[in-house]
Amino acid sequence: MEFTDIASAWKQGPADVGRLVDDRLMAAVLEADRALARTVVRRDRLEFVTAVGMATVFLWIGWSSTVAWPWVSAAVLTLGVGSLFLWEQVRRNRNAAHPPQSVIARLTEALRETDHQIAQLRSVVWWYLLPLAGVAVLVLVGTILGARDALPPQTWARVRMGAFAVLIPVLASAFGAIWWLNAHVIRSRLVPHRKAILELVDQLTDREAE
Amino acid sequence: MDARETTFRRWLGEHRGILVRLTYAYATGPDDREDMLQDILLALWRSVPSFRGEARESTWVFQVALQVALTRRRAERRRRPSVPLADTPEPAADGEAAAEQRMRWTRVLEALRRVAPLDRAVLLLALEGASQQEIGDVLGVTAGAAGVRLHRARRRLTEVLGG
Repeated sequence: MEFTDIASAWKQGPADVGRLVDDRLMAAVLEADRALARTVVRRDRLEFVTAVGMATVFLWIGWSSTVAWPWVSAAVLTLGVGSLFLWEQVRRNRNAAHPPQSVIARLTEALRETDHQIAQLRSVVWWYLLPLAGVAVLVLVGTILGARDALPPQTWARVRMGAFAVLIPVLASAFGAIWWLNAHVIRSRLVPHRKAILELVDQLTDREAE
Repeated sequence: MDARETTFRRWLGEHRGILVRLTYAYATGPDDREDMLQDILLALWRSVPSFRGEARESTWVFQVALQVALTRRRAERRRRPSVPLADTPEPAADGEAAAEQRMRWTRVLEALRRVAPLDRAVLLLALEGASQQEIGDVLGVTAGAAGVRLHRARRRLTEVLGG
């Protein structure tokens, strides 16, 4: 077949899906857009608002406690983790303001974004799990130190040991599960996706084609 | 109707044939095709505010649609509310000419699907009437590089079609 014949045959294929631009479709596109924005924006805002709320509670407890330093430290750590989500939203908005245009630029941006997601998930222990574990330990320390005067010394010592004996395994299990889930997502979805995009970028920048 | 919606509707009105045929070339079946078209429509809608008129509208529409087709992950399907499409009209069974036309188109489609995704993009652009310069603009390479790639892709397509 000559290429002109191929092109002629191709253009005679399906060209319509009926009422492609009707009002029902417009409403559905708008709703899909809003839903996507809600999912992405809501997640990050929720994390930040929750962090601010918790930090406020910790500071209030510390203000009225005899031992303030664990609560203040917990508030600082919580705000630190929350601000990372805010920074992520700022970064996303900044990228959206200058979108790429050509296919190769869009693919390169998609590759960069995938690398960013992989880096975030790989480092989740350092910027999310350990700080949250630190907050849990500090809350426990603040609670135990605050109860020191209310309990007989031996009871207080037993409570102290028992609390940590429960907290540490619970934290290790919960955060271990989160870490494993993240590693699974990286391995099963993000790395193959990255490989596919990289192959496309490599093909487009193939110098033999020049 | 605001300016954004006006632009979006115009893009769909002028390029819907290309968008539909692109989904046939890249999707794996009817459900995937519908999902892909939904993803493309959503991406186009979200891209309207970013369009500054530096490129031709057809170039922009191609760029957005191709990025979706090339980078889409099947795991993302059905996570968003469905964009209901009107029923695809079945081609009228009106004789030998129509059947022959359908058969030729299906043969071209099957051959396209056997070509590598990026070469498929180049071929699609050429089949839809884009010049080498336009293909280069869409992809982000020089017209010369686009021409070389198109030449190789056409050779491959011809091999698959059996001469």
